[in-house]
Amino acid sequence: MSADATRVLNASQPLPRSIQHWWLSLELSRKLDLAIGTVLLPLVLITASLGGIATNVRLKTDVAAQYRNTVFAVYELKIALLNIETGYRGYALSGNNRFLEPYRLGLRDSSKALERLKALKTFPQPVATLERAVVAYQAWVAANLETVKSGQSLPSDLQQVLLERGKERFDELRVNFESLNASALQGFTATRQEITGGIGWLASLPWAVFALIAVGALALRLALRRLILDPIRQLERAAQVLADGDGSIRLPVKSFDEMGKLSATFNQTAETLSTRTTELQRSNRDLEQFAYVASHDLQEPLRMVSSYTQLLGKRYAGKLDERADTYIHYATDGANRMQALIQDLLKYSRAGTRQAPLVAISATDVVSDVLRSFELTIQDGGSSVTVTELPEVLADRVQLSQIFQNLIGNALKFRREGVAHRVTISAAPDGDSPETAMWRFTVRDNGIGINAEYFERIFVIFQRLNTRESFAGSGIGLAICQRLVERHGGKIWLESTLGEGTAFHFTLQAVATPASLHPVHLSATKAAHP
Amino acid sequence: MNDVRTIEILLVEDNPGDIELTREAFIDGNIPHHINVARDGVEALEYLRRQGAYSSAVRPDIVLLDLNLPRKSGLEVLVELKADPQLRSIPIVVLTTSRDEQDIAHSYHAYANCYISKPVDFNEFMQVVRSLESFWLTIVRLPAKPA
Repeated sequence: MSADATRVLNASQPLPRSIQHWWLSLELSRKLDLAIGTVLLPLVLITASLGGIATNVRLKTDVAAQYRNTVFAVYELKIALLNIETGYRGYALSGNNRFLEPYRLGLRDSSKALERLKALKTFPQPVATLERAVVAYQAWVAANLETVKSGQSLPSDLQQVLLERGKERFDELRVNFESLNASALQGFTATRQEITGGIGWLASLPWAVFALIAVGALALRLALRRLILDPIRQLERAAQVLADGDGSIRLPVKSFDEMGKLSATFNQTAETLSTRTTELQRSNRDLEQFAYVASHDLQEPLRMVSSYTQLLGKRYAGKLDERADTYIHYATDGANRMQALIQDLLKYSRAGTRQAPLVAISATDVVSDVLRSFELTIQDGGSSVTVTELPEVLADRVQLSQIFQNLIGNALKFRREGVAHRVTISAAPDGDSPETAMWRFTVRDNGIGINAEYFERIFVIFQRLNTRESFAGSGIGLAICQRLVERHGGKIWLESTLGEGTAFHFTLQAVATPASLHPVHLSATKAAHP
Repeated sequence: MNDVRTIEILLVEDNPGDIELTREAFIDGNIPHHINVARDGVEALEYLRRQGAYSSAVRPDIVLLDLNLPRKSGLEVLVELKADPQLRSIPIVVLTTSRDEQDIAHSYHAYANCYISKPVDFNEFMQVVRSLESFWLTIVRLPAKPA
């Protein structure tokens, strides 16, 4: 009882839970099949009913044809009987044999018409009655003809009787076939009306089909939108948000079909991504913090070591023996180098911290400043530096200077003996990154070059390829460069041939689209040292 | 310009290495001076107020104050000194390893007379102490000591 009551209650709701669940868990292809089926079903029903109607019309047309043939047969019978009557009367009046010809024709035709009427089976009962009357009439006429002598006319009183009796009998017969004729005509008309009535509405059928197809197409369109297009658009927008780095984006999971599963997977991906990102950010922050604290705290005791070895050198140089002086020298040198390393490490960890918001910076200005600081180095080394026209980029001014400082510094440092040293600084639109407009900067030298197997390693912190004696440096410059370039959303790489020279490339975001901003004329606009 | 009397310096510093380095730097200069050392904030205030063991302490002409001190921080010492009508006229030079903008701002806000970050490099440190000496002990006219 209670179950029934619940069912009644549920029935008043728009969709029972079980149906809703069934629909939501249905596969997308099944849903689409159902939607298409719903649209096609009325069309199929219409087509099927058209077949039925056609059969019915054919049957009715046959019936109508039988009624029509009945009318014709009755008419032929009537003509044949009239022939009999005419022939019989003429012969009876004149005794002339030529009247026997229509009589015989009428006899034959009337029998034929009767046979056809019987074969039609339209009105068996009235036809049987009619047949009996016709046969009786034929027999009566035949019997009376016996009394007529060929070539002689009957006496006029007898003629009179015969003619009157014949007319009476014929009139009786006429009533019979007139009633049959009327029935046949009525049947024919009624059947024709049935046919016309049954197919009259077919004229509006094209409109009905058109309306059905239109409604069906709209419904399909709606179903496609609800089931596929809307979810795909939503997914596309969410994917864009995720691509822009917001891992907090989630999609509503509205069903358990393919779209629902896709949304769920998307959410899972976003979740994983944001968790990973958070973990990475934390570990990165921890590392940066560690590097900063470590280098900062190392600095204090080292300051003592360095200061006192220097003080020792200052106060006691020459007062102890020669060996002591050497020891002091190494101790001081080591302490100084370590101090430089720690300074670099501090610089490196600071390079990791987020810079000021990127603004439009003229790379030409930055490079000019950097070159000014290298003026002495350029003169001493006899290097020639060429700077082509450089664009404005989105950057932090201090960090961009650091990048150029390191790259130009390296280019000037690693000279080849016996070759006129040349350094070129240029820029070109970067074709490899079509979605964001980027500039590619290149610092090229014809120095000692780098073996390809070290291309990766030189960006690792404190990795050096040359001995301290041949080239000074702690091996932190390129690591800092890489960090800074990546913080600016760019990348850094190099091409080099050992003994021929090196080109460092790095990309930075353009202020506007490079192509529209600047037709590149790579003309040398400045030679710092010709 | 200056009468040839011994300049009294109070160095508030807990690191013996730095104490020695400062002493060494002053030795290079040729100004007669005497360096007294307080190893933490509490000691510095006792010294200046001639409390406890420091009842016969000499009032310094200038105080070199580190910020990172045990017991009482340099900043607290600074605030207390500048609130004391007897002591506020003594010039306070904050001499510390900190380069923190906050420390600099707080120090000046508490009326520090100047703020110097100790250079990491030994030679630069010597240079700075010598500059300090020539400015505060030679160029600047310090207030006369109360009797």
